[in-house]
Order: sequence, then structure tokens, then C-alpha cells
Amino acid sequence: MFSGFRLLFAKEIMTLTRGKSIFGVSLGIAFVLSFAVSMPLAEVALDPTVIATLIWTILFFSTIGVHLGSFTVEENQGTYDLLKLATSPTAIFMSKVAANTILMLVIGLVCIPLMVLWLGVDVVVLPTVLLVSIIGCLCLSLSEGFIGYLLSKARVGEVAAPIILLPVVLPILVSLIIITSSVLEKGTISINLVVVIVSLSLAILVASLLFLPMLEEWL
Amino acid sequence: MRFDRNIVFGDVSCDFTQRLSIICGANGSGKTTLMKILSGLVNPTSGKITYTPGIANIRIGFDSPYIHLYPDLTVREIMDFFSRLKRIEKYDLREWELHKIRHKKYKNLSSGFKQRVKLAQAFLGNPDLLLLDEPEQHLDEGGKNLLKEKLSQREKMIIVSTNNPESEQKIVLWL
Amino acid sequence: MKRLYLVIAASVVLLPSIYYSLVIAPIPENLGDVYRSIFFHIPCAWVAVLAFLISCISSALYLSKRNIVSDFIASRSAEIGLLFSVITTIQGSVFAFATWRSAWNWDPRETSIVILIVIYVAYLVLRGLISEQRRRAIISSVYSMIVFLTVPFLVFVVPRITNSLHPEAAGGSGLTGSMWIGFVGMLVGFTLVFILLLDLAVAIDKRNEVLSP
Repeated sequence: MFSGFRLLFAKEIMTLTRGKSIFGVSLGIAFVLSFAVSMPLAEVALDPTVIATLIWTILFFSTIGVHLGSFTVEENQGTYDLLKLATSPTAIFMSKVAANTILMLVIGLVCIPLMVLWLGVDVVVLPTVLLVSIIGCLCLSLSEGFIGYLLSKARVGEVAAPIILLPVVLPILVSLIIITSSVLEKGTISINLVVVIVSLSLAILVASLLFLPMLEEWL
Repeated sequence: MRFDRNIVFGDVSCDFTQRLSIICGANGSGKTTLMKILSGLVNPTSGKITYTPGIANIRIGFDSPYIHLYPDLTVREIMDFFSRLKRIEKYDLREWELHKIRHKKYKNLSSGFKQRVKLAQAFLGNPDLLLLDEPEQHLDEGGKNLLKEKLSQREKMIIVSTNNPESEQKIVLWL
Repeated sequence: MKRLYLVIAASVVLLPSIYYSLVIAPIPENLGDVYRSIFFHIPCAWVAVLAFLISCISSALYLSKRNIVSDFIASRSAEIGLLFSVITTIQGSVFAFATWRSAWNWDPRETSIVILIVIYVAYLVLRGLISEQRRRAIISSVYSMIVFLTVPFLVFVVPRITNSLHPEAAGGSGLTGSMWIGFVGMLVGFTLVFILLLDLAVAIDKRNEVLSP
């Protein structure tokens, strides 16, 4: 079921980071947005919830391309069919989700510390914030992957992607904001909410793997 | 086969038993769709395809004009990737005269060489069934000769679709 | 004929109930006539939730049986649900403004219904973008299933944002004695109207399916 996973994963990383890459553009957007939001707020004492909201909304919207791009590009250029003739859809899907997760993590680990610093948060909480970022990026990637796949099968382009993605990731996004704000305020992580987002993203992943072979047969 | 209420084609019944079969048809007659069905990529709306011996045991080589390979990978990387994916031990870029351009990115190739890379990819590992959709597209004389040579050397089954049949070819199916 | 019976039944139940709730029903003195909107508010919310539930079930049915009528029901039910949830939200806001001078309070139910609106707007946008009927039906049904997965998690997350203003959440139903009569009448009447609307919309889809070349 996962044959060729490593090979596909390496190919994903290569195609996503080269040339006019989706990764470069998304990282650029995340960086520019972080700066654009932080600069005007330089002298303002912000509530931790506001900071957490800014961090995760910026990260979510700037990385939408990462989660969709690899699926839609592969479908549009027809190479998806070539891959399908040689390996299983599950292996293709998982390799893409894994590559997207890594790229999202890189973007998160660059932009979140920057925003935390720019928005005047005490550096002491940074390690905990980074831990939350890793969990958050993982959960967001796992749950956005399947919608990226669905949209590529829908052949609708990426314009409406934020509208279609948001309902699926909303519980994760809101939970992440609550978790992060509590970290910024008290330095503690709410384990309950971490359990919620991890189990939701795993549930979506399992559902994706169940639906995937059926969709491949039906469409 | 139909998309919504548009019937692309129906009543196609054909045995592909010869080594080389040619499918012919005008633009929009459903050649590519039929090729996709024959490769098992698309399920027909109604009807059935039977492979001997079973699709799971057949290695398929496929090329079609709608396929564009990875623009930012070099020719070598593309061929390496597909050969490893198809679990093929070795291949020779010289076969399609690609060795001189192996370090060039696919997006920087001329359309003729792009077509050669695609064909090389389809021919990789001498697949049991080779489905070529308009394989002569963009090829220069040299490319066309190479293709003819490769096709004539092959002993396993080939199905080619074209809208420009040469008189000496025997057409199996008109769409 | 079936539809005529539905119209008659809905009118027989709704007309007296509307009259009762607007004119006769006793209302708490401190709230005034604006309280009467509660007789419309809850049935509207009920129909919205019922419609979304039917939409979701029909999507699942489509995936298992692949009958296109299930897809018609799923999409039309989602549209009707969206309409009623928008009405519910606006009506709730008007009531909240009249009562607390604040039209939006991030009450968990307010938040939940907007989340439902967001979900089904996304569902309908996705449908609107796909032109091929079979592909649209399959993809939107799967999307509906995936989104449905998130609902239990939202139930856990949303109340963490703010506290509730709704009387049920605060420990009582808010309705007393004879008010129940009008309330139940409205609830049944609205449900009948929903069934009628859904039946008509699906009939249009079925006719289009037969007529389209």
C-alpha cells in the first residue's frame, strides 16, 4: 500500500521547493504578513489571545497553497495518472501529506518565533510556543491534506480553497489559538485541547484513507 | 463512455490481440478517453474490459498529450524517478538520444525533446502493454524514426492512437 | 395531490399557531412583545438543524446507493437549511439587541449556527464550482462526511470561548404553561413547510434531470 513512499516523498520535496515553488511563495507570504501585522502594533501592549489569533490566522492563510498545490499541480499536469499506473493512490497521498507537513513546519518554525519576538512576547515562553507550533502544524497539515486532494479531483482551481478548507480546520484553528494564548499568558499547555486537535486530525486522516480508494474508483 | 449527458462514445467492442493496434479518430472523438479506459485509469460508464492475464499482473507504459512532466526536474531526475518507481534496474538515456540534455530542466526543453522524454518514460522497462496517445506529436524526422524503430523492435503489445494514420498502417478501430 | 395535503396540513397547524403566538400567548412582563419572536426563533433553528442533518444523511445515502435523487435531497436540504439558519441568526440578533442592547454576544449557540452557515456555504460553493454532475455529487458527499466529523469536536471547543445566554443552557426552558401549545404548533408547522419546500425543490431537480438534453 505504501510502496514507493520514500521515493515519492523525495520527489515531492524536490518539486515543491524548486523554481517558482509553492513553498517559496508561501514562506514569503507568511513572512511579509507577519511583518506587516507586527510593525504597526510595535508600541501596543497586546492581549495574548490577540497574538495567538494573529499567529495562527496568518499561518493558516499563508500556507493554504502548500496543502493544495502539490495535489492540484500533479492532477493538472497529468503526472498523477503516471504515478497511479506505477503505485497506489494511498502511497501518493501519504507522500504528499508528509512533504506538505515538513514544508508547513519549516514555515511555522520561521514565522512563529519571528512574530512572537516582534509582538513583544517574553522569550522565556518561546520553547513551549515552538512545541505548540510543531503539534499545530502537524494537525493542520493532516487535516488539510485530504481537502487538497478533493479539490484537485474537483478540478476547481484554488480560488475557493480558503472557504472550503476553513470549516474542516476550524476546531483545530480555534483550539490552537486557545492553547497558544494560554502558553503566552501562563506558560502552560492545555492537554485536553491538544488531545482534541490530535484526535480530530487523526480521525480526518483515517477517514481520508478510507475514502481515497473509493474516490479513485468512482471518479 | 459519457460525461454527464454527453456521450463520448458507445458501442465500442474490440479485441486487441495483435502486436500493434492503431486507434484512429478525429479531434474530440474520444481517443484519449479510450486510452485512459484501456489503461485502467478511468472506469467506463458502462461496459467491461478484460485483460489477459488480469490488470494486476500487467505493467503498463502510458503517454498522452495531456501529460506534462515535472517542469523543475532535470531529464536525468525524471527518468531516475520513474525507473525507480517502476522498479527498473537500469535504463539508457542514449536510446532516445537524451544523454546530451540530461542536466537540462524539463521546462527548458524544446517540445520535441519533451515528447522524447515522455516516450522514454513510457517505454521504460519494456512494459507488457504500451499505450501511446498521438506519439508523433512535436517529433522531428529523427524523433519519428527513433519511434518507428522502437515500435518495430518491440515484441509486446502496443496500442497507438492517432488522427493522422499512415496508409501502410492497419487501423483496428475508427472512433 | 400529496403536496395539496401538505399545504392544507401546514396551514391548519400554522395559522392558528401564528395567531396564538402573536396575539394570545402570555408573555413575561419584563421582556415585552419582542419575546413573541421566540415562537419563530426556535422552530426556525429546529428546521435549520433538521435540514442540515437530512443533507448529511442523504450524502451518506448517495455514497452507499449512488442514487442521484439522494444528491438532489442533500443539496436542496442544505440550501433550505442555510436559508433558515440565516433567518434564525438575524432574528436572534434582533431579539438580543432589543433585550440586552447588544446584537452579537458570541453565545455558543450563536457561534454554532454561524459555524453551520460557514460549513454549508463552503459545501454549496464547492458544489457550485463543479460542473460535471456525477463528480459534483461524489465529491460534495465526501466533503459533507468529512465536515460532519468535525461537529463533535466543535461541540467541545465552542463553549470554551464564552458563556451562554440561552435559557436552556442556563437551566430552564424559558417557556411556561400554555405557551407550549403555540410553540409545539409552530414547530410542527415549520417542519411541514420544510418538507413542502424540500419536496418542491427536489421535484424541480428531477424534472430538470429528465428534460435536460
